[in-house]
Amino acid sequence: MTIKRLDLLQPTTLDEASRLYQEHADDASYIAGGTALLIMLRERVYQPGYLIDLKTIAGLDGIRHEPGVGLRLGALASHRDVELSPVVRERLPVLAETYRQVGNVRVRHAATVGGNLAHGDFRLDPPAPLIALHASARIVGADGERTVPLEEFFLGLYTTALEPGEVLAEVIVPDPPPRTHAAYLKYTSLSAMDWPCLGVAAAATLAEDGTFADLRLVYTSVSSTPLLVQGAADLARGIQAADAAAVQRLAAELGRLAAEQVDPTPDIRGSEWYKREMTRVFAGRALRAALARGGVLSSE
Amino acid sequence: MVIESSFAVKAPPQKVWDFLIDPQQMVGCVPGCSKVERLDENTYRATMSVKVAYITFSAAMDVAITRMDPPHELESTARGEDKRLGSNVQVAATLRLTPQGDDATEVAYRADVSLWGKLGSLGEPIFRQKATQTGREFAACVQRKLETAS
Repeated sequence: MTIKRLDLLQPTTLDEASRLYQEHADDASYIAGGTALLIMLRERVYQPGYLIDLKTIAGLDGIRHEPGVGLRLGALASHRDVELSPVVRERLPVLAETYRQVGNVRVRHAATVGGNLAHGDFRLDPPAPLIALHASARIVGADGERTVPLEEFFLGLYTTALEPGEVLAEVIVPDPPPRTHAAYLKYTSLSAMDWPCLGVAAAATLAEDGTFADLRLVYTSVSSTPLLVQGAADLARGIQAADAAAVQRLAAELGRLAAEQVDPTPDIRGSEWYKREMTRVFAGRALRAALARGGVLSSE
Repeated sequence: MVIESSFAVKAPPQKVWDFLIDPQQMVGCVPGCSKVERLDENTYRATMSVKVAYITFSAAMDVAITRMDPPHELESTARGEDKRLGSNVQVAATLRLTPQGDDATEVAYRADVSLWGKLGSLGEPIFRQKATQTGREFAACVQRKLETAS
């Protein structure tokens, strides 16, 4: 179906975008890559009178590392940009690997870092490693600017901390502490191109003596928002990461903990029971993948 | 698509029943419902507006109570159309109240929801999530209102 006639507004600054949004409040939407929005426009289930194109604002698509701040991903950087970025691959390879797993290469060329997060779908891949690595969102609105940790950004089904008119301008991933190893695993129970049955990221930080100092485990697709497992670090702290038997016991406990906290909805990708079981199983797999990445534990 | 769940309320079945069949109480507790008019003894028209992602479904839902066994079981059907969205929703629902001790009730509900038209393009997982969330908000509201009133 064709898209219903609408006006495309092309601001060149965030201030102008915000002003245009205020002018057309209930009849406008921001658009970036458009990969989610265009489907709804073509189906005519969503028919705004105005689209405010964020891609005409210069300077929002950069990817760079700033000492003392971390990795700064501009909201308009495409998934493909992140996937191929030398600075991302060098500093946080888990992010390049995660963005590589989203959709297909055509989607990744269009979909943007900011649009993906702002869409707030509960099955997105990038939030898992971003939350595991303490990323935050820099949000710009008519009243100024604020920074929200991504673990507090997703409030419910397709509901984020973005207020009407606000724009997610940048994602900031702080430099992880030394000896931090992270991995993201995506499990699709149907075709590889489908939404995942679940996704899980693990980020483990080890102390100098090789014991766990911190551990963050984040799931997607198995709750209405990305889920940071509470209590994972308490289970892990003090355990020797190179001790395969101890890690195996930890994996079992982590799996039980995670399975209690997720809230999966049954669908064609699995029943509630199945998704809980996969949650349990993938806790250990993600943990071992993260440790293997750091060369701490050999991969199975 | 069948949505089933249950919740407990610290109030006797008769009190829960009176609450659930009072249209004005339901307006305040059904998420997205802004108005209920009584058409005749057993039929009502409810004005609903439910938003998921970019999509808002707005319709006047015709609700008919098809069977009542107070204060135990209530069966109803509801249907509505959003012409702008080109979508229909039809629901057949059963509410069952079971006493739990002297002063508590288990409310179990089962809703068979059918969707036609463009709404279907969103996909079932999203509707399930939304329905589950809506059910929880409804339960929390009923609990809050009945438990603080007593």
